Amino acid sequence: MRNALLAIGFLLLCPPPGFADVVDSSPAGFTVKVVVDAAAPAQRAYQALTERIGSWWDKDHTWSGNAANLSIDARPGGCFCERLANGGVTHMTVIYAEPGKLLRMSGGLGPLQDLAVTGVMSWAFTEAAGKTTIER
Amino acid sequence: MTYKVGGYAPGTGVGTLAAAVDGVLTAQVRRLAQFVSTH
Repeated sequence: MRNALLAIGFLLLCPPPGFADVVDSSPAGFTVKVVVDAAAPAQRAYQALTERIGSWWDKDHTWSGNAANLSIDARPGGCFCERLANGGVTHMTVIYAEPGKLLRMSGGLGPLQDLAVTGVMSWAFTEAAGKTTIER
Repeated sequence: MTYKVGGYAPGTGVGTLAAAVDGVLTAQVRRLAQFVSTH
């Protein structure tokens, strides 16, 4: 029993390298935080986010049903956009871009677009010991 | 990755959407990490 309590205490003090959580929530808004490690340099992780989104984004969370229609123009004012057969979608707008370190975008994703809400999404990349932590 | 959302949603408010958004974004960030780690 004592060992089990110690283990729980250790986990609470030292969470695993990857975690996801709703860190706060109220009727007026919320914050979601996700931290994961990737076995790659930060620059490559940043490039995958901005240049290869069509290769990893789940197509089930697109309007067109095809992640290859997604793109991120990673410069201030750039568009996180999606091509549609006869039109297109602006998902978010880039408001901060520092390759290999930080990408920040503004907008309401998915069904949030139809609500009177806005959001700020930050992707921070920290490289150490041959791996990159993606968080903010 | 952090996503901060605020505003007005009729009825129960924006906060009720947090869990669903968390689920989607957690899966997406993990997919990115997996992709980067294997390509």
